[in-house]
Amino acid sequence: MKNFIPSLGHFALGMFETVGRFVSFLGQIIKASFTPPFYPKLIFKQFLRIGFYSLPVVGLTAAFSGMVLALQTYSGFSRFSAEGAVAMVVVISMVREMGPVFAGLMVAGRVGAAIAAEIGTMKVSEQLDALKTLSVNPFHYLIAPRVIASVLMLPILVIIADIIGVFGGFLIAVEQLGFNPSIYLQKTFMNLETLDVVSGLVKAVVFGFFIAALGCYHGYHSKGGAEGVGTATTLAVVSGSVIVLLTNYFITELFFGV
Amino acid sequence: MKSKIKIKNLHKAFGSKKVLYGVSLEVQQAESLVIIGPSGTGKSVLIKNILGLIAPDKGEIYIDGIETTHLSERKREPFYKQMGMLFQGGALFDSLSVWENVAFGLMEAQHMPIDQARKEAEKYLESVGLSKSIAEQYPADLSGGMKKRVSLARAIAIKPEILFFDEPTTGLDPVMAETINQLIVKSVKKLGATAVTITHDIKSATTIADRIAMLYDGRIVWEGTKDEFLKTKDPYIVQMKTGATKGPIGN
Ligand SMILES: Nc1ncnc2c1ncn2[C@@H]1O[C@H](COP(=O)(O)OP(=O)(O)O)[C@@H](O)[C@H]1O
Ligand SMILES: [Mg+2]
Repeated sequence: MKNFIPSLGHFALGMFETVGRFVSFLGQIIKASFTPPFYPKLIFKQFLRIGFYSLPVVGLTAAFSGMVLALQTYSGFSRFSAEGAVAMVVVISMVREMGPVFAGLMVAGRVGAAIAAEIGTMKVSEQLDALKTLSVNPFHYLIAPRVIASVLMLPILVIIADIIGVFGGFLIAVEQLGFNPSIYLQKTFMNLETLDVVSGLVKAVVFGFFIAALGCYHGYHSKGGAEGVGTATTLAVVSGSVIVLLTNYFITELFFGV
Repeated sequence: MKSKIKIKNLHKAFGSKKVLYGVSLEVQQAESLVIIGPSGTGKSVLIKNILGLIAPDKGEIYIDGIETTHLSERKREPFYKQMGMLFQGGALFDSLSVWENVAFGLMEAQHMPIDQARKEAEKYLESVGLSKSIAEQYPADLSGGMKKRVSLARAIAIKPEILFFDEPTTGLDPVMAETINQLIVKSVKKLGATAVTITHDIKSATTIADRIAMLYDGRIVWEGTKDEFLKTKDPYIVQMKTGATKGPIGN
């Protein structure tokens, strides 16, 4: 008990220090994103890496989650003879929650890890220092392009995930559960509101920002060779996934909470 | 003589680990200073402090008589523009080709057009004894000696007034090491630059240096001209030269 209180104090101090450091890091990212020099070519390169190459995995997870959503809703709702709600549940869950969250988690795994590994390697091999001595600011040259690309690409990925997910649900409903295709589609569009789509896109922007920022942060602060880079990568993925789920809850609360 | 770099009573610790405590050092304009000392004594930390890559806990650093100790990133930029650094591991950008590495400072900081920057890069590659044919290769494809040379070319391409070399010959075979030593002497002379070199290779030190300082236990324990270095009976220098296990440098 004697050692407990000081160590708790140390823990709390360490926590504040880390949070403070992260917040100041975010400030630097935002500043670098809105002040010159800008590197459009590098942003474009990151568009491809973050957006285009994430398409297969995001599309795949969206398709299967839409499909399983249709199956489960049907099996649950048919108990109350409420099969008619399947189209609505699928489209609303997909657009509000599953599209953004699954795309976010996939990107946190793929892109967060890649960014942390790349910047971490540059850090431990002194390439970040080399950049500075060549008068190039790493926040402008490395970090801002990644964060900007991630913020712009995630909404696009989420829209694609929504479409593929809804379509996956539609396929199962029509092919396996015997729904009438035109009635199912009609119900899908009837129940979809602008706010559903907007909330999903807001989530996408927030996820995109934090995933890339956390990847950069952990990479930038990694130390001690290959092992340090490994740790940074793990931390980027874990913290990115956690923050996706956490902010997802709060944004949902903001939009749909009562 | 004009003092180019002046360090006063510099302290730096990482957590509870004190690395530098009370380093004072001066380098004159166009002088070549070599800092020797055993591994892990803080030689790299010292020059990273001068460059502004690490912030000291205490003490002052002056470049051209201007204090740079606590400059903001933005105000430091003109100083970065006049300093070139050859990092211990080369620190070449993996994602860029050899010529893009060499031309990096020219294109990104000095905004030189791409064709001209490429020509410049090839010229500098030639000056460090590398052929144009490797310009399109990537750092991962190069040998250790070639990486050091590309890195040297990158450092001198921005025509700095001060050059830093962090263990330029470590890990190279003796012939390649001597080649690098000669290249350093030649490039520094050609630029008329002030040079600070870190090494624990005595041969390298005596080839490159006008003056030599020894860092040990967080302080400069010996300082003198090359001739004084060759003659001195100072126990630190003697032990450093002979590699004896008995002496003031303990483990
Ligand atoms: N960024 C850092 N964080 C923590 N410790 C460091 C850092 N940089 C250097 N050190 C420590 O400082 C000491 C001196 O390192 P260094 O200057 O690299 O030695 P050397 O004289 O071999 O160049 C080492 O013990 C190293 O572990
Ligand atoms: Mg070192």
